[in-house]
Parts: sequence; C-alpha cells; structure tokens
Amino acid sequence: MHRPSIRLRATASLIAVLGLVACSSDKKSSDTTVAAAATQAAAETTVAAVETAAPVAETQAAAETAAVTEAAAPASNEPQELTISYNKTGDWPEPEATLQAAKTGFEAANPGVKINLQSEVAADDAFRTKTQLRLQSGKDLPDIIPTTAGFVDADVKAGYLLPIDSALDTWAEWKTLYPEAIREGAKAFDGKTYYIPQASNDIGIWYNKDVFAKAGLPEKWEPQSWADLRAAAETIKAKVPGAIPAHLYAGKASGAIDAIGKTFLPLLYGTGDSLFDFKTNKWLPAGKGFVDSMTFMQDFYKDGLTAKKADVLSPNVWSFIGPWMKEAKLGFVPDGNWMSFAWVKGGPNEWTEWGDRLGIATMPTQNPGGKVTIGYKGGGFAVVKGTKSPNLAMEFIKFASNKDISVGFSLRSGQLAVRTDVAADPTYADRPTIKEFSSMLQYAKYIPSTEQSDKNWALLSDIVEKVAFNQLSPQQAADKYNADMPGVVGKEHFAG
Amino acid sequence: MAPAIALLGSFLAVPIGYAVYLSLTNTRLTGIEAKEPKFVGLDNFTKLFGSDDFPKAVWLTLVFVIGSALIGQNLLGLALALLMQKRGRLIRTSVGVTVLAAYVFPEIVPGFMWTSFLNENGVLNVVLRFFHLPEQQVLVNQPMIGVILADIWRATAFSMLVYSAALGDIPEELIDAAEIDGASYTRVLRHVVAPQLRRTAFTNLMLITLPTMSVFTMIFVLTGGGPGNESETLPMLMYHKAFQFGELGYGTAISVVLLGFGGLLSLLYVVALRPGKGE
Repeated sequence: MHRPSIRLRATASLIAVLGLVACSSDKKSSDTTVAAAATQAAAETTVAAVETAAPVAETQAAAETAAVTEAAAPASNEPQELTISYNKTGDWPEPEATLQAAKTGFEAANPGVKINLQSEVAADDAFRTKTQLRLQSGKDLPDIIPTTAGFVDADVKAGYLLPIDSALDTWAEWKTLYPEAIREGAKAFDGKTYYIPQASNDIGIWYNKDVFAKAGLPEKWEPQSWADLRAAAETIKAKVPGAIPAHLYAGKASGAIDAIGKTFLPLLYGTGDSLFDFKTNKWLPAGKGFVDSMTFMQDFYKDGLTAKKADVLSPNVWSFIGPWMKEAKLGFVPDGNWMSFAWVKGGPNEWTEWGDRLGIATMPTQNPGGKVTIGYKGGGFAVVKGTKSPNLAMEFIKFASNKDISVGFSLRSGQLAVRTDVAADPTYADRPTIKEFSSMLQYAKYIPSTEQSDKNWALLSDIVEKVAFNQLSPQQAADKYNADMPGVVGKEHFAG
Repeated sequence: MAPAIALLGSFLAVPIGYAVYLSLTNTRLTGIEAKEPKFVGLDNFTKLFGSDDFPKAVWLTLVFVIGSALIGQNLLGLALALLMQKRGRLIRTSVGVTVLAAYVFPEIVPGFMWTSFLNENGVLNVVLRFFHLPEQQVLVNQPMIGVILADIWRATAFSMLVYSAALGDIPEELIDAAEIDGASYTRVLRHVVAPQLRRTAFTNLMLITLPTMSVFTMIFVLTGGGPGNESETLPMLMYHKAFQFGELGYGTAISVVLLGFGGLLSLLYVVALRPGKGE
C-alpha cells in the first residue's frame, strides 16, 4: 500500500491544526460574545469596505461653496477636526453628496478645519446596528452621524446624542426659514432638537405610461380604490407579457422601513385603521384593516402580479426600480418621492424623458373616494454625545443645511424642501414630480417616531415578508402581531 | 498550570460568564435599556422557550448539522480520502489542493460564490437553460438545501484531511495480510480499515459538528435566514433578535442556549471517546 510521504503528512497535520484553531475561534466568536458576532456581522453585509472618501471637487460642490456667505465661528479651544460616519448603499447618492458639498464649503470658509468623511458600504439597518454598538462602546466615536426622526427618541434615551438647541437659538434662519410645523416635528420627546431636518417625504404610485399604453390603460391614471389597483395589475399581466405588473415592497432585507412603509402602511391607512394613536401615544392592535391589507398584498403575490421572489427579497430591490421603469419592465410601484434619483442627470439610470414617461398617482383608499399617503419626516445629521468638538460639529450641521446645499439635495433626489427659500427656488419648483408629491402631503399619515419605532418596524417587516411568501395567513399575521407587540414595544406602549 | 488557567480564564470563562450575565438582563442596542439595563432573571429564557421561532430554529439547526456535517462533510471527506489513498502524487496533490482551496477562503468568499452560482441568473440557471431544463430558485424555494450544499462544499476539506491522516496510519501489514488471505476491497474496508477509523470518526464528528452548528456567515450571505425564517438556524435567530430587533439581552440568551447545546454534544463525544473500551 502506498504511504503518503512524510512531507505530505506533516503538511496535512499542520493544516489540520490550523483548521482546529480556526474552528475553535470561529465557535467562540459566534457562541459566546455577542459583540464579536456583531462586528463580524456588520462587516459581512458587504465586504466591510471602510474607506475614507476622497475629497471630490465637483463643479456643483464648488458652485455651492461660492454662494455661501455665512462663515462659522467655531470655538477655538476645541479640536478643529470632525469625523462624520455614514453609509453608502447601492447607487443612492445621499448622504455622501451632501456631505462632500458641505465639507468642501465648510473647509474653505474655515481655514484650519478638517472634516473627515468616514463612509462604509452597508445597508441602512446594518449600518445603524453597527453605529449603535459603536456609540454604546463609547470609544473611538465619530462626531456626527446621520439620523432619522424615527431613531432619535431611542438614541436620546440611550444617551447617544447631543441636543443642538444652543446652536439653533443663534441661527436666524431656523426661525425665519423653517416653518413652525417642521421645527416642532423635529423635536424629540424631551422637547429638545437633535438634528436639522433636510426634507420631508411621502409615498406615491409611480407608473410607466408606456406599459400602461400597451395594456390599454389610461395615460393619466387615477385609481379610486384598491380594486382599481388590482384591475390594472391584472390587465398588465394579461396584455403586456414580460412586464412585472406591480412591485409591492415586502422584503425586510432592503430595510424594515421600506418593507412596511411603501406598501403595507399606505394600505393599512387606506382602510381607516391606524398603526399608532398620536393622542394616547400608544401602538394600536391589528384589526380588520390590518387583515384586509395583508390579504390584498398576499393575493397580489399569490396571483403572480408582482416581481420574482428573489428580487423582492434582495437587499437592493429598491435600486431595481430605476432600470425596470426605464426599460418599461414594470407597470407600477408605490414608492418614495426620492425614487427619481435614479433617472436624473448624474443618477445611476439617467433617462432624459423620465419626467414625461412616468406618471404619479396618489394611493387610493380601500373603498372608492379617498386618497392616502405615508409621510416620512426627513432625516438629518446629529451630533454624537462625547464629541470633543460639539460647537464645531453644530456649526457644520448648520452649514450642511444651508440653502444651496439643500437645493442640490432636493434636485438630486426629488425630496421635498423644508426651507421656505428652497421651496421658492425656481430650479426646485420646476423639477418634475415636486408638484405632485407636494400636493399629496395633504393626505399624509405620519409614521410615528417614538422610542419603540424601530422595534415595531422590525416586527412588522418580519410579518409582512412572511405573509407575502405565504408563511402566515393574514389572520395569523394579525394574531402574531397582537401577541408579539407587548413584548416588543412594552405592554405600556401597546393599546391591545 | 497557573498560566494555563489564567489564559483559559480570561479567554473562555470571562466571555462566557459575561454572556450569561447579559442574557439575564434586558440590555438593548438603543433606548433607555441601553443606558440602564435591568436584571430580569430568566425572563429571556422563558420568552425564548415560549416563542414559535425557537422550535423552528432548533429544528433547522439540526437539519443543517446533520445534512452538512454528519452526512455531507463527514461521508464526502471519508470518500475523498479513500479515493485519494492509492492514487499517484499528481492526482492526490491536485485533488487535495482543490478541496483545500475551498476551505482556506474566508467563509464570506464561498458565500458570495454560491450566491452567484445559485441565484436567478447564476451559473446553475444558465446551464439549466442551455439544456432546456426548468430553472431553479434554490435560495428562495429550498433555502436549506442551498446553504447545506454550500457549507459542505466549503468545509469538506477538513474531514478529508483528518481521514487521510488516519488512513495513512493504518499499518500496511494489516491490509497486506488481509489481501493475501483473499479479502476483497470491500471486506478490507469493513473489517480492517473501518475499526481502525472508529476513533478518528468520532474525533472528526466532534470537530465538525460544533463549528457547523454555529455557522453564521454562510447562511447570512446566502439567505439571511429567509425567506421569512425558512433558513433561520439558531445563530441566525440570535443575530436577528440581537441586532435587528436590538434586543441584545434576548439575543445573548439564545447564544447561551447554543453554547449549552454545544457543551452537551461535546460531552457526548467525550464519553464516546473514553479510552479503554474495546481497545
């Protein structure tokens, strides 16, 4: 019998030993220390590409800089350096584009100040998890992070953020250019403000007029009820082979808030039911409207009126809408006003005729006659508690909200202005879709932003995905929601 | 002894102790419980054992460990070792290197490779389309099969090496004697090789089941535990609860349970491997 040579055996045993070491350390990391697993997990979403963004001197950024008049006067006893941590997902330009513009302008206006942009390629939820772990550890903190209304309360209670009221008090624009409703809406539970909102957003139905024409559907589509949505999807399925009739967001991988806010919540509010009672500040139990909405979604999926399962489950499904619409492969999709980022000049799927070839309809209610949209209070930048340069950080946040940067932000992504001077700017007002989505705001139901918000979103997105893929019936979904909610948000916050 | 105990203590006992402590609190990622976590006793464990997710996750973990480690890696590794045994150097080296290559990559690399192999427009479907066969959405429709296959592909090298080494240690005289007596290859395998491999097999099983039980990256990359929770093994459930729901305390409780399972399994193997039984 042939015996393996000594060398081969030595190599084999060496590798075996190495393997052992690797196995045992592997086991430890996922068994015993959550923190280690977290680091691993956060790194894994995308191959942990931490990079310091190179300063890109875009012409646009330069133009924005030139118009800046107000020079900040940071306190000189602080370190004149800021680190901003943010994420990049797919082709989404924000917050990178805004931060680049602000960095260029701020450094030019304040010689000696250095802004470090620390970007990570990661999906929103994973980045947020990582940021929270980072803030919880209290070490090696960034000075500024992006935030959204829904996260502020919880992060304030956890002691992660610094209020910026002192800086806002001395900033005339805050009082004169931001409407009172916006200023009030940006306040956390404690009455303090932690970020300057960049925009407000809502959800409407984007539809492709070419697909509609092929299906014999009207160029100006005004669905009056859920039945109209269903009928349009069926017509497209029958008459336009190869086109996806509709995309209804239901995959939690692309972000919990996407999975519920773009389809399920507009449906739920269209039944007359609500998710949250703003008077009592309690989450409401699932009732008939919840079941009806889930049934409507599940039927779409069951009857093949949606995109393929693999696409719905993709973490990047939101970035497929751009090409799908451009190539006339999709009939309609309830999605955010910001979707046009894909087609504008400089976007990932540039398309000069997008303003003409796409229509926007307001989401109808379950029964004929009503209209509804989900309003998102826009996000902004927040100062991390523990920063060594709080005053400089606040000055930077104000700078990043100035008129020119805000106009650039809205033009890139189609998000609705919150500053009155931006709203009055002709380049903004004439941008396609601004008018449609602005007029929709009158029907807006706002997503609650309390300490419990993201826990609720995690639960609800989990349920929505299971319903779409037939793992729960609509009634089981409602029962599970009602059973799990007290544990997820706390009994005292649930009106069940 | 003292340095060994100190090392073990700081690298093993302390993290485990801390995990157990965390699992008894309501620590969260954010909110007031992030700043001032409270001691909640065994609440996390009662909640876990009472939830629908738990039995399903245990079942899927079991399926994964049996499918990937016990059957896949173990038997395939043994088969490879046997097949390579009498081959020439060139074949041994090339097969060995190929199988090992899968093993030395960081888990994330095979994860992405298998994603691109199995997804809608992946290699698998291109080939199926070429032969006019129906397309397969394995990761969506049979997620467990997808992750098990990928994990077998990645981890078989270890079993192969262990068995190769053991086979090399079997005295040639034994086999020669059996062959001279006229024993066929299968009889040699059954009566000469198999008994000699018994201990190796147990050691190998112990070494592969434990890491397989806690495989995270592969499943995370391929399916993320989905669709829904169709491939949510215990490590995925732990991640999901700790980092998606932000319930660190609850997530840690799941990891403690996982640790318990691992401990039980190790105990089982240690008992089975006790020297002096039929040796």
